[in-house]
Amino acid sequence: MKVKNIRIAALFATLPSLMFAQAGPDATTIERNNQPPASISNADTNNANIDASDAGAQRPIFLKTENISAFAGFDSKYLYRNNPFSAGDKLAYFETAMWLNTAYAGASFQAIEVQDAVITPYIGASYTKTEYLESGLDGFNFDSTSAYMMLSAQHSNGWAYRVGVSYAMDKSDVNEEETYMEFYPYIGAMKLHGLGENLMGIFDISGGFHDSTSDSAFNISQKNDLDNIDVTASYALQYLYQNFIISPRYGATYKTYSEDSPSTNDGREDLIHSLSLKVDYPIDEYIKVTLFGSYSKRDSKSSFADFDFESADGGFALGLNTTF
Amino acid sequence: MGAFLFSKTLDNSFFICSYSLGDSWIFTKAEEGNKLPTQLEENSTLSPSTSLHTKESALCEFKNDKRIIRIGSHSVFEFNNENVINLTRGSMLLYLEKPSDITIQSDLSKIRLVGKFTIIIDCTSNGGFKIIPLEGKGKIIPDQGEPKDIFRGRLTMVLGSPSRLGNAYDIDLLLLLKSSRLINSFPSALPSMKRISLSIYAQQLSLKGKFNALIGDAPTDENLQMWAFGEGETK
Repeated sequence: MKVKNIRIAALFATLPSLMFAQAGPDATTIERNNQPPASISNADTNNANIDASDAGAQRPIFLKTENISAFAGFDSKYLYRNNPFSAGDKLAYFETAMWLNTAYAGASFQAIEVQDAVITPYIGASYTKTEYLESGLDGFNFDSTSAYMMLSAQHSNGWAYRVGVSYAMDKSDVNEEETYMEFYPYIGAMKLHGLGENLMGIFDISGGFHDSTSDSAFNISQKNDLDNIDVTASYALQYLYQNFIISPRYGATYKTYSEDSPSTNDGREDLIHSLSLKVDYPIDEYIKVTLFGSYSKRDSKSSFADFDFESADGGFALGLNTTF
Repeated sequence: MGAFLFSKTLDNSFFICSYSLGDSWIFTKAEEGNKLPTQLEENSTLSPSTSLHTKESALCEFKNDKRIIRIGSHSVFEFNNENVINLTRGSMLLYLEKPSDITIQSDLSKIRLVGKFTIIIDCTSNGGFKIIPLEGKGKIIPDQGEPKDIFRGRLTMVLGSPSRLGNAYDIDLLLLLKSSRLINSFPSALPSMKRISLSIYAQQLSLKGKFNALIGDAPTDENLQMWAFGEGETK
């Protein structure tokens, strides 16, 4: 794994913070798949409208007989991002449209029912192609591969606990060299609660250790500079309006980098706020279109460089998924 | 008076009415065999060899320290002792806090339920029952034939005398939960509500599809009514 060739020298001349730790896109801010899509792990709520009776309506169903249920899907996102390389200085922003295409597949295994919980094992993998559509930035296009295995335990107290480990790898599209790789053991807990007939609140907290190997810009720092422990807490609402699912979300992530000197991230701590709004419109059981927008802000404490940034994006997505 | 009520609550040979909606009557068997009806009210006591008759739209709930019994409308309910319950008409919900061995009998059929569970029992016109477990573990033991495990969401027919187990059908627990007055139409939630929710979650994980039909009454042992509905009615 080698340092990525910098194709546009002018870009780095105006991005001093990127020169040291973030050659191109910031690997620590990339969204990565480490759990199955919500449509796979959450219960179906589509049901017949039936009048009440004493015993209740008794609608026959048929259950899976296989021990493994597979799922697969494809997401295509087209978005505009005003600061794709997480630059601290607004003068250094390279606004661009982006196109992200993700293919994913996975499987859930037969749930294990214990006294007060249902435990479900999942495995999955995905491949994402990220393209910058602004002329001159295509040298930063990259492909990401991720895989995970996860145990999810839904407890009768309403909390869903998860533990897992994921693998992620980014590879430059230009020279096909690996620029970032990590293993990420993590734990998390989520609780859904109803706030009204069509409104649901979702609290989620998770944390883990990013054991990474990355390109170090200009070879002045170490390969595991980006190792960090992170904790993320988020609260989201999910509102069902006619066929639209409207989901605003706020999340805060705290990261503390674990590599000591001479790492350029020695003593670095990040606090990342993110605010997003997503509107899903399921066309049918397999296809949905999504409009989304988000804003994120990083406040960083570092003695080496300024890693603060703000970034906003907005776009739309088409998602296809199926289960077997 | 308070001490009297307290002692009755702890005595398992009595059930105290904790909720009553609509018109229900307790028939007490007098020495000469005549039944003297009294209207059911909250805090009424139901004792062995009394019977409860609920009218249209009525609902009621009885509690003792180990179980909760909810009775639906048009039901006739009585108990010989705390472990032998007669349900000759209508429907009931039974919640057991501790493992127990309960016999449910109609004029025709009889079934033993062993375990710890929340279950709905619905009388059918053929004199049998539909047994619908919502959560828990245990066995359904007929007079004849092999017992079956209690499995959440699996409706099992109880037929004839001596009783035997008929067909079993997995049914949509989420729809049942939304539409059952025995679950929803009471001021206090069942203590097992969280475990019922977990049953629904587990069922949804293994759900492959739903039939556009509802199970109805069983007028004979050979016939079970099914009410079909169209695709457009499923949303």
